[in-house]
Amino acid sequence: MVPLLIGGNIVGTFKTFSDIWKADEYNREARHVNYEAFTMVEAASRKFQSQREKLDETLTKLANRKRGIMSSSLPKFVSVYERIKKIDFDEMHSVDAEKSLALRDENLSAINQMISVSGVQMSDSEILGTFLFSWEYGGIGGAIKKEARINLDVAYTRSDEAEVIAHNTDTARIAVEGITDKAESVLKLLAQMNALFLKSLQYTSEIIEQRGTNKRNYSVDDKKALMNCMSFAKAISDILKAPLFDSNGKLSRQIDETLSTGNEYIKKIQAVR
Amino acid sequence: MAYENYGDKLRNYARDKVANQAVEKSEPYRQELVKLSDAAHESAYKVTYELAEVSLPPKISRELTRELKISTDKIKKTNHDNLELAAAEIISSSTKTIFDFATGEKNFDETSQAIAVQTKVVVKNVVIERGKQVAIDEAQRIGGKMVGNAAQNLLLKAGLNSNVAGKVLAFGNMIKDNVVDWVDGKISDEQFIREVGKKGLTLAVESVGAFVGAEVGATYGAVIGQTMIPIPVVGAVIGSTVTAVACSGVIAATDTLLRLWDASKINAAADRRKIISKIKTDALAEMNRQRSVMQKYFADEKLQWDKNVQAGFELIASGTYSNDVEVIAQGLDKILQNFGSKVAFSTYEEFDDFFMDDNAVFKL
Repeated sequence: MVPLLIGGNIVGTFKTFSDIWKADEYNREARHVNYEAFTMVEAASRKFQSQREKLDETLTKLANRKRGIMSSSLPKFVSVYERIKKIDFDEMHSVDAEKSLALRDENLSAINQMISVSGVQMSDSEILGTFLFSWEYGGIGGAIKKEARINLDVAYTRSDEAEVIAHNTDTARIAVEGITDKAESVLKLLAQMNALFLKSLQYTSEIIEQRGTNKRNYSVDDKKALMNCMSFAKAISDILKAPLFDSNGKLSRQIDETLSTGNEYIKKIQAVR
Repeated sequence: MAYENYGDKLRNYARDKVANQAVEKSEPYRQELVKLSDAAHESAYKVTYELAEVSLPPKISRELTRELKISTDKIKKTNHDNLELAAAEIISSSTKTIFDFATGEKNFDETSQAIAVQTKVVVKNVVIERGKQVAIDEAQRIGGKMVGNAAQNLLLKAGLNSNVAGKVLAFGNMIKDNVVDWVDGKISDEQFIREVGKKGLTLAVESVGAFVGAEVGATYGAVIGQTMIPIPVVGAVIGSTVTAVACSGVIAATDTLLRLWDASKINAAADRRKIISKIKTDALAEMNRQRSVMQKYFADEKLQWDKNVQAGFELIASGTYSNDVEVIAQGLDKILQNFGSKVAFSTYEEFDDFFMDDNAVFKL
């Protein structure tokens, strides 16, 4: 009986140490998984923020260019052409409207919002209770191991959530990148169009100066020149007024849907926890 | 745990209030006491087992016998060393005073002063003046025998009632928690004295009584006091350790059974992990699909945009060279397709009519 008891104690002690050793392994793994999870979200978030800053910069340039054309080129056109035509020049009210883009703010709500998953910290009494009243877990060592195991599960859960959040954040970055590209294209186009428009305006200003207000003094070539200039003026005006993306357009809807889908899944995950 | 620095806190407290030099000199002996405290745990474990045997079902008692030692070590390893030592030392010096305060024999000021003096006694008299060997001998003797006797006395005076035994053990735990708060600065000296002295005893009786399920008369407090008082200082350290171990081992575990144990808690994390893993897999698949569609839209739009702009400028250039305003108009129209609008004048005739009409207004 005594050897049996001694043997039992040795085995029990060994098991306890083994369990605690295993618990340490779990804890190390959990720490690593947690670190990776937060790093993943942080990296995605940093990339997104960087792209977002680039977009803001481009949109600011675009807004400034629009303001410049609106306050310089078009008023110059109006002052010259008012002598020969009635012009209804409706100044744009909101050249800053570009920021109301396809990317809705609510779709970015989940970015960098990984809810802090609290791990399990068993109190001493819980640990004791675990070994006392749930012997199948293998005593105190088993309880500690179990606690570590729970925390490891929680860490992997957090990692899964992090992966979805990082993925959605990256989708948002791709969307912002697309919008930035578009804004840069408009910026470039406006510069080219304005340059042509100003040349045309300069040329036709001289014609109007020479021919005066009597329209019959204008030759066909004169009128063709005026037609070009007025067409450019109207085109530029249209471009200034056009939104970067049609807020009801396909692309806007697709961005909206894509990010909303990600957000819904993130909510699902957070609801389970 | 916030208990890591209780040893330091205790030393600071003593240094500030009573025995600065004594504490420093006593440090080696104090560390020796820590070792003795470990030895005391052995005795405490034994006593606790004896108590557990009468208060818990046999099967659980046997399991407790084997595991309580491990749990004690584990608790110590998880930062309770300093906590228990600090609590035990203060309790050892203060038990009688607290009891006197509780029974009205001492007022608050006297109690505070007495506790301060007794703290000094713990550090100076016990550790230094009586010396290392005395402390070792005393601890070994009391650890092996007197703690058991003290506990037995407790049981005897309480009529060997297991419920009472549980309550006696709980008393130590109640005081310990308050001492911890006190040393930690969470409660003031006055709060500590009042909590432990007046309210604490009552709480101990009531709360433990509620879970053990039996009532004990008003004389119970006296039983505790009279039993604890005769224990020498070092014995009280060990005796307090008994209560600490017993409380964390028996009472807290029983309390856990009643309130905290929930098997689902253990398994829930693994289940959630599986569910979330599945959601993640679905999510990534669907998100990838939708992302591809989005990227295609972007790509298609960019392609169309570039195509229109390039074709538009080519037409504008061509029309300019050939002085063909309609070709230039086509070029502008091509570019404006990107913005969902049309050129103002498609043909010269259209422009001429507009130009010659004095009433026509050019809208920008």
